[in-house]
Amino acid sequence: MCTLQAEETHLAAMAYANTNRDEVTLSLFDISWEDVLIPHVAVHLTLKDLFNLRSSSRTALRFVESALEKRQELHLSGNSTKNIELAFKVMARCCRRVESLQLACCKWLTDELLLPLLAYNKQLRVVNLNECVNITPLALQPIIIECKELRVLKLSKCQWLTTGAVDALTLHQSKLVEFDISHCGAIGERCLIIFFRKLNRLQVLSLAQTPSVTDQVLIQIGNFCRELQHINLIGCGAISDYGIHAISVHCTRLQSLHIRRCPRVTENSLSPLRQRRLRIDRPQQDVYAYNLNDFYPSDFLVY
Amino acid sequence: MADTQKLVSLRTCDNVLHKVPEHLTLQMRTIRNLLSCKIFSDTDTVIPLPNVSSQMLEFVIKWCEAIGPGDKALGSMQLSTLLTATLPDLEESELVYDLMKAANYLEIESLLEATTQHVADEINNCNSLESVCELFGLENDIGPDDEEGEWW
Repeated sequence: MCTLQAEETHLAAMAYANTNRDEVTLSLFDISWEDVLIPHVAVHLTLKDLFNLRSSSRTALRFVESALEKRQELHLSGNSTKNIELAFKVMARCCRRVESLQLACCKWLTDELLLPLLAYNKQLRVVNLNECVNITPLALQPIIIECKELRVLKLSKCQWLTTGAVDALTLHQSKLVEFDISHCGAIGERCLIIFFRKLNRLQVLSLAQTPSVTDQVLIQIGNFCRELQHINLIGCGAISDYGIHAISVHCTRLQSLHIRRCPRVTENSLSPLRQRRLRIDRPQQDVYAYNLNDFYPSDFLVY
Repeated sequence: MADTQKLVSLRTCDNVLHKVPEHLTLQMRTIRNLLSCKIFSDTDTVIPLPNVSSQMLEFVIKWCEAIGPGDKALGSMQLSTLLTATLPDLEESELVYDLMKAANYLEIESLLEATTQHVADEINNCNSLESVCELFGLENDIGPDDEEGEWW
């Protein structure tokens, strides 16, 4: 039932009530749903509030489902309460205008639960599926192909993410502003090289603990992602000063760099960035780190 | 100053005539738009308010006096706090709903925001289904076989 029908049902019920104004007690649901309650009251309520209200009466149920129809943000990250799957089914049935979908660490989430929600919400701008370990690339397909306004996609620790899924992203999603595929071990270097050639608007990027991130990948990022502001490369053991230098030269808007546990990245490439006042997570005291790039290692031995 | 300020005549739904200083009515977009029309700009013209009672209009005037024309930068929470301070008689839920309706009809954005935030806060303070029903005087008519019942 759409919002207008639900509200008209309630108004029709009111029309049979006593019309003597002294005897009619105004209740919450007598106030305009479209003009007041949904845009001004429901927008301040959490999902928990809405579901408590929904269970209180049939009128409240109709109201809450009308409010869910228009709700633009679903924030369930970290939520693993009892009956969450049932609640999600209600949301999948009702929501039609979701733009921000926050489902990080929702280990209960499956393709079967997620696909119905995605079928009716193609205007998604932000999707956070970090650590959603029980979904598959099948759930990602409608997001990649249908959501033309997608700007933020977070898939950290989604070990199920395949090269094929990233290839599909390359083909359909070139307007991403924020992207996180940290801890996704199945993505190959070549796939990433091709991917970053298309992502010209990227501003925030996390590739932490992604073993296939090499200097070649960083060179592509430097060449094509000129808008980059924040990059996380923690634990990318294959990168060196050469890759960092490529980013340093071309990404002039860079503001922060996370580079811990990258032993081949030294102050040779970090010093120019420190002079630019970049926020770098590794402290500067580490200037005597063993430099694997050096052809004359004896110069760097610490006695 | 009180003798020379322009007064606008408003007749509420209970047929009571109120003479309200113009600078307060300018916070009500509905009235402001009417005053910009020639037919209503004459000082003798009475503007009808069929959806607003005398009691509610008095509340609205108190609010407009408290908020002032320049305080548009207050957030929802601040507006809600100001509402409770300005109108302590508003403890009864029915009055809040009447005031919300009046604010919507008169298009007073700050008052609408304050009353709706107030109601949202009341719902947020309910920790159980029973407290929600008690707050709004609702009778739980949802059947026991409804599987999509209480979430928490």
